[in-house]
Amino acid sequence: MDSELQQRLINAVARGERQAFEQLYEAAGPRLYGVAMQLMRSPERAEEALQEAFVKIWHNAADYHQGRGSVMTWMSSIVRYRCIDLLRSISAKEDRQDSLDEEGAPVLIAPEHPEDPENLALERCMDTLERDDLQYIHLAYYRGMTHAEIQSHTGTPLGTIKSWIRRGLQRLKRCLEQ
Amino acid sequence: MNYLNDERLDALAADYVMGTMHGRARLRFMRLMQTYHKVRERVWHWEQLLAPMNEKVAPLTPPGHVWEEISRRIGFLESGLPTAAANDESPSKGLFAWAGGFASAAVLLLGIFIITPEQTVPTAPLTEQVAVFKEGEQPLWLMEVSGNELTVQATSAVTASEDHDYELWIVPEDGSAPVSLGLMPEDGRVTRMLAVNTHDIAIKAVAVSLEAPGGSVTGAPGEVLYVTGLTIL
Repeated sequence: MDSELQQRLINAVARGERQAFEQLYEAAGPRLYGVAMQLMRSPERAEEALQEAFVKIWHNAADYHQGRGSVMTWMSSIVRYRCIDLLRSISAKEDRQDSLDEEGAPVLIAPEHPEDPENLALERCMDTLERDDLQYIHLAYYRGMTHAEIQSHTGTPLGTIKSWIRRGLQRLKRCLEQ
Repeated sequence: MNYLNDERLDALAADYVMGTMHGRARLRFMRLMQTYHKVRERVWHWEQLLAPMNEKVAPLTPPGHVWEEISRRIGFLESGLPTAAANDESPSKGLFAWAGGFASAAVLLLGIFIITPEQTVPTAPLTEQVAVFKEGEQPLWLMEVSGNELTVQATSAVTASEDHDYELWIVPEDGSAPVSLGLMPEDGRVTRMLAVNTHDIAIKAVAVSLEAPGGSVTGAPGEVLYVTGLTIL
């Protein structure tokens, strides 16, 4: 979905236009459901997160502005935060470790538009990271693991995980901002 | 701890966006985001830096019932879908029951409904108006609308909690579903732009509800704590 169309649709959604909201869902739903599935690892829970995120998108469309990045970035963040809240609430009620151990590394694909400058920059900058930093960043971002869950998953001491993720992110940021 | 130190703030914003920040630290940070534009901007910056990572996740078509459920929760299907009408637990029905039962909710909340009928202008559009939410004689929040800008000031009487947030709602005069104006500050003052879809709503009342951290996810208010009218300045 190109950014101009996203912008037109979100403006219409902010005015309460239902048809625009349905178009936005059709265009962005699959990508956002993919993000939710990657984090939740359960269709039921991913569906719940997606539903709640889209209800929020409908009610908060007028809050979107360009300072938030693209409309897709804004919507992806809403989905991710909803997933993270659900994951934390699941972790509080049950031991999530078994299901985390069963799953392997995050399944990633080539971006749909690898030639986009943002995607090229991310690829280039990811390549500058240490292997361990990258692994922990992936476990946190794509699997929604806390530092403690990464510790249980990998056996690495908590302090090491925290400092490696932080080091990796700062290195990534410096590279992406160049 | 000085949260607004640049380096510290940057690390916290990254933790928040990654999702590794959790529990009380996450709630504290969300409150800082509500209060300080600088904190929100740093979070938005990290969201944008990391957003291309989402491009590497394979898209999946959601099942058809997901859209139906979203439509039902928003109220698109409120009158046309028999299953929603038949289901007492359905959020949209709960929402309309809440709006319909507004008068009785206000009666139950007697003692915290403060502004007199002569002072209220329930059908005026949202411009240059003010409301005070009180518990007994104790003011809790002052809400001001100036043009398209909403300012809410919390008093020291507001009880802050890690376990919940307060959310502000307008109750439209035409009986349609309450519309959220966002979370209330638990201390200090917040100013934000009003959503475009609220500009022309004739207001019956404004209300504050108690919600889980982050606010209502259903789009409908939870437990309504305070209700009042709006007064033209």
